[in-house]
Amino acid sequence: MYEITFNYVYGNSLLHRLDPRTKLGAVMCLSILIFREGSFAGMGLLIAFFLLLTGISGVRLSFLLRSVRPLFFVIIIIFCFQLFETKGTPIVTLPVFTPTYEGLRLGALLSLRFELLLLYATLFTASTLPSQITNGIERLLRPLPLRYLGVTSFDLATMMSLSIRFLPSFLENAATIRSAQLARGLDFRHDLRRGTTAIVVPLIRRSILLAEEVTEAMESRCYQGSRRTSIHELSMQKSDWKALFILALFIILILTL
Amino acid sequence: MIRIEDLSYNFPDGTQGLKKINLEIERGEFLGIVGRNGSGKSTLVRHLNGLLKPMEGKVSINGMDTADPSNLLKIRQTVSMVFQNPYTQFVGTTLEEDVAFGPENLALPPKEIRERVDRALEVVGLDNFKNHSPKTLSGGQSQCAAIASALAMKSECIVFDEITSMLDSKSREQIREIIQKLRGEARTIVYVTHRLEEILYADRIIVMDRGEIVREGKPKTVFKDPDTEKFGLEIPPVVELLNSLESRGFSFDWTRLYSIENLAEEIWESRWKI
Repeated sequence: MYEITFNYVYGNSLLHRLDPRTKLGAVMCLSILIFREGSFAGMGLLIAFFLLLTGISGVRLSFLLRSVRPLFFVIIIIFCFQLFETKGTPIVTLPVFTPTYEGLRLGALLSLRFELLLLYATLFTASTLPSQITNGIERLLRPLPLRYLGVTSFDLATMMSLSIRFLPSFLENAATIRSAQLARGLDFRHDLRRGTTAIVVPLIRRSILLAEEVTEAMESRCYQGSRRTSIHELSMQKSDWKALFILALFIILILTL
Repeated sequence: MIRIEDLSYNFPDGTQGLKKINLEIERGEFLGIVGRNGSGKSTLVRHLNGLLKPMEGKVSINGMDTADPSNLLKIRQTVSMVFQNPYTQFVGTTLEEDVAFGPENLALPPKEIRERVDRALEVVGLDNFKNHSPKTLSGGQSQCAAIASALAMKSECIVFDEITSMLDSKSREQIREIIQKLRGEARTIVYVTHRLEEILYADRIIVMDRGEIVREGKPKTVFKDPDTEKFGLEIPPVVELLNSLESRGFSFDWTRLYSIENLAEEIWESRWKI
């Protein structure tokens, strides 16, 4: 019931098969590009590139659009703010807020920016398994001298994947406790403060107990943060280098525009 | 292979968990541990792989002292554990990743991890569920996954701590068959339960009460002991049947009584022996 898949869509496209590190790098580069792009032509190119990638991935565009819909409201607010608050030539003169041409341009750019950022990120999670993302992040962090901070890249990766694994259990526990408290006559609507404590306190208690059991199971299976291997050892393929090369060309194209 | 000498343990709140336990477990033995809730069964087996350290006394596995932290990794490779709750011991996001978790911790090469995972999943009959998430597995399947995870460690001894208490009877039967399979591989098995019928076929059982070993011996003799019910254990109808059949001249090989079908066969065969 509480399956967390981070929007992963099963598939075996080129995009699905790329190394998670390639995709992570690409998402980062593209995000920076999106943020520094100030022209509609550049934005158009970025949109075209996104559509191209979506086509390759085989993920339905409507699925990606649907996943970013919850943030649509925020984007509208941002757009309106820019539209009315930017000073410049008015489109029409209104008594309180005056929309301006400059505002329209800025608002459109900004909301496009947010939309695109979200869409690229969603495409990434749609074509990469959460465990692969964790794996990729771990492999990228491995050369960093994290051990001076008292953690290893393996610890961080385990933390991430455990969070992904146990978030649904956490939500399920919350739902169980909520029902249990409602069955005992908890009145949520009239006393929100007490209602919240009645759920949060047992939830924390349960989560700690759960964590203890998980720790025991992990320790029994020889968990040590210092040295691990993975059943899915990552290795960059030819297609990864090709993809990065194409990405580099695209970046140069946008920058010279 | 496992030697426990004068082991005592108190819980952090001061109540006594174990009192002067002495126990030796042979290589290849199937040892059943029974007792009511709170009798100290789980506390005892948590000493077998160093999850708990003895407060008094000594626990050694193949000669390695569990109190010495430098031995722990080796000890946990020798003694695996399967716990009661199938969901909290499932740490991977898919079945395959979960079974791989142990071998990954041993920093084995990916190829060997793959082999171990495939082999372990085959033994428990879950090879078609590799990419399933814990949510899509039933309780029984998750528990089989936990057994596979222990198998992938290739340990000499596996400790089962009340692994069937959250399962339905169908899954319990399945698990019993897997364990019987493991037994054929001459692995040391320690099986904790409060259901006597699950350890009819053990080589030896111990009964625990209030942190002490109160009875020890072959299942047959312990189950016939009228005191057994005093320790909060219920003699299952199957045992009563066996007892009364034996008192009428039947004789059974108890080590073969791991399923109802086998029991029926045994009764059928011994009918001809009389």
